[in-house]
Amino acid sequence: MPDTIVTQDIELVSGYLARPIEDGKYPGIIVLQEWWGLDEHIRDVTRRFARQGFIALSPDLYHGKQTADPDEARGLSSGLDRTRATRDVIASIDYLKSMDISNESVFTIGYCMGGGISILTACKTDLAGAIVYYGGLPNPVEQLDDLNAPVLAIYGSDEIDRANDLEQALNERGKVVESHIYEGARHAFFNDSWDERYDKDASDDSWVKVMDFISKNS
Amino acid sequence: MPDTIVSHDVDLVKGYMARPMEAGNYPGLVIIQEWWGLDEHIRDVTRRFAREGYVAIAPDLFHGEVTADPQEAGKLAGSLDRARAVRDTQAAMNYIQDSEFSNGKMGVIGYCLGGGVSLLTACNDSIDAGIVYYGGLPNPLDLLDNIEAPILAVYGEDEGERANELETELNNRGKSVEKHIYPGAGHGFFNDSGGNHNGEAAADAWEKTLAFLKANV
Repeated sequence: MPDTIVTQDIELVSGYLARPIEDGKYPGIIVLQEWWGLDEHIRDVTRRFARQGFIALSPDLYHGKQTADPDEARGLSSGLDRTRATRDVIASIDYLKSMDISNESVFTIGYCMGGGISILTACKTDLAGAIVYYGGLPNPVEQLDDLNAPVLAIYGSDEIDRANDLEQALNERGKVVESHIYEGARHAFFNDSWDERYDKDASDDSWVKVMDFISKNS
Repeated sequence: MPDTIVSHDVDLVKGYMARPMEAGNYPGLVIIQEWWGLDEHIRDVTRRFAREGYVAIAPDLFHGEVTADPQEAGKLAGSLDRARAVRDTQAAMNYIQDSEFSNGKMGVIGYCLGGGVSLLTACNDSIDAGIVYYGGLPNPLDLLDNIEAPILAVYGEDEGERANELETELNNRGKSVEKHIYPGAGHGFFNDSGGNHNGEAAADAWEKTLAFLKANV
């Protein structure tokens, strides 16, 4: 009788990892994608962190999908199950911490859609710090009650209300937050693969702020 | 300047899948390993369920480790982060639900170590059927308050007390539970690659499991 089934080994959660070549103990950082998916830009950012001495890992929150089309990206982003995404991030943290070269300290950083997931993850698990670039607040916002990590919040002046809402929501709860709002910069200003939005000055300055925040909290 | 980093794609959570060849929509089933790991026996069981019409996935809760040595298995099971194991199980459920073969229904079955993880998953997520073969109770027990799915509990006579305790705890909470204790059978009796295999009990438990799944997923 011919077999009537198919079998295969599968990846349930996958990602992209960049790390220093040299053996040693390094802090970890989870890099969380914009609504485009785990694209070449996010891979590039992940490598940049590795060059700064991090084990950097970007989980594929869309599980194989990515796009350069804004309408499709919007559909993927709004269809994303936030609970599942947060579990994928925690799977990344577990993976990273199980590596020989991990020093057990892990930060999350997310951009746009990933910024919201970065904050949400900090509400669900312990982190050395959570960094959000122009991301949304958790829904419901009370989830912030459970957040323990210090937060670095970076926004363009086009989203000044959102930045203030987040800062206020964290301050009200006695959480540690450092905010920077870049005058004239817009949503996604750090993305140097998007000419229309990229703001080099704001981007370079925010990179320094990120490095300062990390060394302060390591 | 030579580059000072290495970068590559990584599998963060892996598993083994078996499904019917014919296109269609099938109920999902996550199969959770014994303390040996995702070994050939668990792969075989996964294929058996696929032949019965399930999209079946066994997640690799030990992330690459498999052993046939009881001491090593005990160590692996003892150090397993249960919360992570439940998340890996949920990742398998999500994978099935995403697939074009899913009919939206979901069962979880686990053996030994996996029996406990199966119960824990039923306490954490909305599933349609939970099956435990000789597995431990959740700690703390009050996690059972959150169970929505009917539970099938299958134990050998050597663990009759554990089976009765599970049944009582579920009944006390008004949960649906069907319990079977097999006289003369011991822990691991379903594993036909193991030393404790009991063919008669295993065959009967298989029929009961299929009937329970048929009724609920």
